[in-house]
Amino acid sequence: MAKTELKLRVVIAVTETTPVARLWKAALKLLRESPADLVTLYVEDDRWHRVASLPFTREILRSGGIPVEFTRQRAEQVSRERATRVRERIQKLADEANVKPVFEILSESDAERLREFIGSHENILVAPSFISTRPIITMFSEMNCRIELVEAEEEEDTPAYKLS
Amino acid sequence: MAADATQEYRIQPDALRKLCSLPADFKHDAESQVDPYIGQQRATDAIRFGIAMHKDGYNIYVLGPIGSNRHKLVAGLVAEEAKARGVPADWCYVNNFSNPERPRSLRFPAGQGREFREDMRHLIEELQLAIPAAFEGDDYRNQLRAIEEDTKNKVEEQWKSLNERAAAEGIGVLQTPTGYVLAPIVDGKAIGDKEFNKLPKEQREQIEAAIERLSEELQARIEMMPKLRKAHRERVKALDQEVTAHAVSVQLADLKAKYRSLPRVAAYLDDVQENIIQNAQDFQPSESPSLPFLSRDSEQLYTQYDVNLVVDNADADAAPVIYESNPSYPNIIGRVEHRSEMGALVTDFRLVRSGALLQANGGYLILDTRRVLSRPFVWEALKQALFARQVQIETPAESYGWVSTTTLKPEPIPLDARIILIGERWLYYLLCHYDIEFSSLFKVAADLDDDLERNDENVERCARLIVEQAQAGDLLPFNASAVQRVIEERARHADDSERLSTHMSSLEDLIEQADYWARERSAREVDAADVAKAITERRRRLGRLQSRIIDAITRNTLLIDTSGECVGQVNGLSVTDLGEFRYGHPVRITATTRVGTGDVVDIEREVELGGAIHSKGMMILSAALSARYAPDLPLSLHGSVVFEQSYGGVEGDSASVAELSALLSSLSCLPIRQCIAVTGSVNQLGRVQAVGGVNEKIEGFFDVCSERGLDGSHGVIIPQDNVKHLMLREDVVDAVRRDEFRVFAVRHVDEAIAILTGVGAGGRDEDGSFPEGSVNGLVESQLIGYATARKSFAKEAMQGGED
Repeated sequence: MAKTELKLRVVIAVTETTPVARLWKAALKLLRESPADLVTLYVEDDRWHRVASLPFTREILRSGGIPVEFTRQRAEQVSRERATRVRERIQKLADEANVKPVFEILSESDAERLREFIGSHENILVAPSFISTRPIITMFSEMNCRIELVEAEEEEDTPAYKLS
Repeated sequence: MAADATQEYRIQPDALRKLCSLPADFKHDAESQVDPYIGQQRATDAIRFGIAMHKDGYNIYVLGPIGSNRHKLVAGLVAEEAKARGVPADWCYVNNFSNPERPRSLRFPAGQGREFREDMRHLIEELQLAIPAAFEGDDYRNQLRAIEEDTKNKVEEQWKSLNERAAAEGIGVLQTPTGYVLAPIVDGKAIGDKEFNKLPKEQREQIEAAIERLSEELQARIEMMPKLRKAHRERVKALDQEVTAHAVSVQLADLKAKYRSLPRVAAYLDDVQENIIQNAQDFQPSESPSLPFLSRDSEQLYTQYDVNLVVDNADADAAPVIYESNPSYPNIIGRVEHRSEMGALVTDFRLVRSGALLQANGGYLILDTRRVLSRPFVWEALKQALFARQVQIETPAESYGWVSTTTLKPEPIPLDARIILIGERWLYYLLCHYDIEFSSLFKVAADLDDDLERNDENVERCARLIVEQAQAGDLLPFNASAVQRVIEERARHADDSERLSTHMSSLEDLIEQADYWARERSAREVDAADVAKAITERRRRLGRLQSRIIDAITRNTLLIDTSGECVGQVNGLSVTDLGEFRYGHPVRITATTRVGTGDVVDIEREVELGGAIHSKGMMILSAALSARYAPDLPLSLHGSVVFEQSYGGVEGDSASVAELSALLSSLSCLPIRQCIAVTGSVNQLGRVQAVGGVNEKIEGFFDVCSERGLDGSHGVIIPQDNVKHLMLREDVVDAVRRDEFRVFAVRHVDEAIAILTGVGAGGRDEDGSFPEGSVNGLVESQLIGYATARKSFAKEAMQGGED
């Protein structure tokens, strides 16, 4: 039985706190070197769900400092909003570069789906350096994927407090 | 009465038309100009008085008919005074920054308004460059950056210290899109309930307590953020104002110095500076485009400092003399215009428009009374402005409180204009009578004379005026005969051989038309024949109705006898006035008499076709009849008088001599000669009095007789007092000169009846009786007979009653 040739793709791994511009630049460079599909893998952080599971967690609103209950629904909403923000930023960069990336959302805690995702292609992973110790990197590494770490620090998409 | 007995009443041909005779050497000296206001000394003195009288209420009403050159006269006189009065102030409207709905008015010496507008435009142009440049400068950017850094540091310090304190207690501060969540962190990772519940109870309690405490601290810091933000904004604003103030003060310094002597202007410039500084951020270059209706565009930003120059006297060399031919409310008072923006009507101080009152401020405003009174709201608004001595620009709807929407109410501007109303006399008297405020606002009446005395001096002035008018109108020169003929026509126009009409437009028309006919025959100058042709042709153009009447008479549709005799029937004379043209024609008047109770019935009055004056004339002649004949007996007459074939109204008393003559003829049974017509009014004593339109009346009868053929018997009886008014056509005078037509002048009705019947009227003798066979004798005899008959009839009736 002959070994099946897997199609090459470049996977940009992003989190809700990833500055995407530098990763995008690195990914485009790889695409220029060898034709491949481009996939943005949004690594969902389930910290919001964890925090929401605590009975005493409150969200203190930026406008007025009013505390409101931080429910699971609210956690889901925050998580979705974060993913959407990142997707929009990626889309804007893609439009400028005239490429059409696929956008996937996966959670690190869902190892089975993650493994299935990695196994379907020959992958080159572009990831920010601050997630180098996270399980996802370990998994890509174990499945013999090429990993390009881009030096980057976490950043909040919203400043702590706006002046205006 | 013998036929030649009428001779003493006949008017000689020379008296029928007073010819003009200029000196043989008459030549107009072009260097000595004629007073253009000839014959209007009273009116010109009044106007000069009014325009020189600098007190309230001395506005002028010029009374005179259309065509009397009222406007030219007023404009000429006012222009003289305007030069002496000097150029008045300019007026501008500018933005009122504290209350934009009430634009501020600024007064400038003449010419400086325009200069100020240009200065402000230049200032704005400079500011458009200088202010953004100041904001783009390194100095500003560095200072702004320093403020931002400082604020940012303060904010970050707050968060940093909070994060550090939280981290020390194993708590993380997580940011959501809308706020913050404090969560326990174990091994750098936010934990969930499973992990949390595995922790020792003591640790769990510590975490909960820490989160509770940190939450309060976080809330306090969040509450502090607006203060930090406000402080930051104020610092930025102060910086912006400082930068703007520097840029503006440099630009405004020269302007303030220039207009230092005008306190209101200086105050306005201070306000401009203050406003720009207060709104300094608006002048910064915009970093991101925004929707047009959500932001003030740069044009609007700068146009608020525009200057709306509503009165500009920069090019004037005298006080303004404004004639407003269409005195509508906006044209007189002014208006606030609107423009459409996004479907809504908006306005500002730049859309305030001045009216004629402001344009004439410091000068003179000339208006036509009839037009002022016929335009809605204008009269009241004009009076209001004169009383208040200021012009408040607002719509009539606002003035009367009909609208409540917000609009502009510009500051009123003090009014110092002399108003000159030009109108007909009747309008003046109506206003005096019905508007109690009129007399206090228009204290000067300039009443134009319709005519002037025809003396040598005035004839010469008039002659020179004619020559000048011809020169001014680029017409052919008028020779002496033409000038004389025109002057004669001025007398005819005045209806008086001893006066000359001052009606200028008819004079201008005549000389223009004479010029036309002279050119038609390729003449080099206008002579008397051209003037006569102009008069004849004009009469022909306008004489269609007159021709129709003459035609109706000659075809016996209108029954007028011009030969033969008839009892109780006389030719009276009537004048029809068509405004531009008057003509006379004969009317048949008949009278019948019988025994009665002393009443003379005026059929015209009975059917309400007779006017009041005509009725009065009829009553006077009834009184004359009863006073004159058989004074000891009751007047036992029933008479009736009528204008035959008259289907319109009859007015005036000029037919009363004719009506009395018809009654006397009927009573005396003496026939009246139909070849003679008569006009004149009569008083209770039988005295014949002057009437109007005597020339037209004579000519009207002459035309009818001429049509049928003049035979020397035809003539017209007029009042002696009208002889001075005679300015008959040359053809009438020529016919009289040839003895084909006659004009009689009488003083008493006896003279008229004698001419009409050919029988002497007769006077009372020593016994108090009229001569037998005389008109009066026959009349009295008839009236005595009527009285006797009435007496016997009454006696029989009484006896019949007793039976």
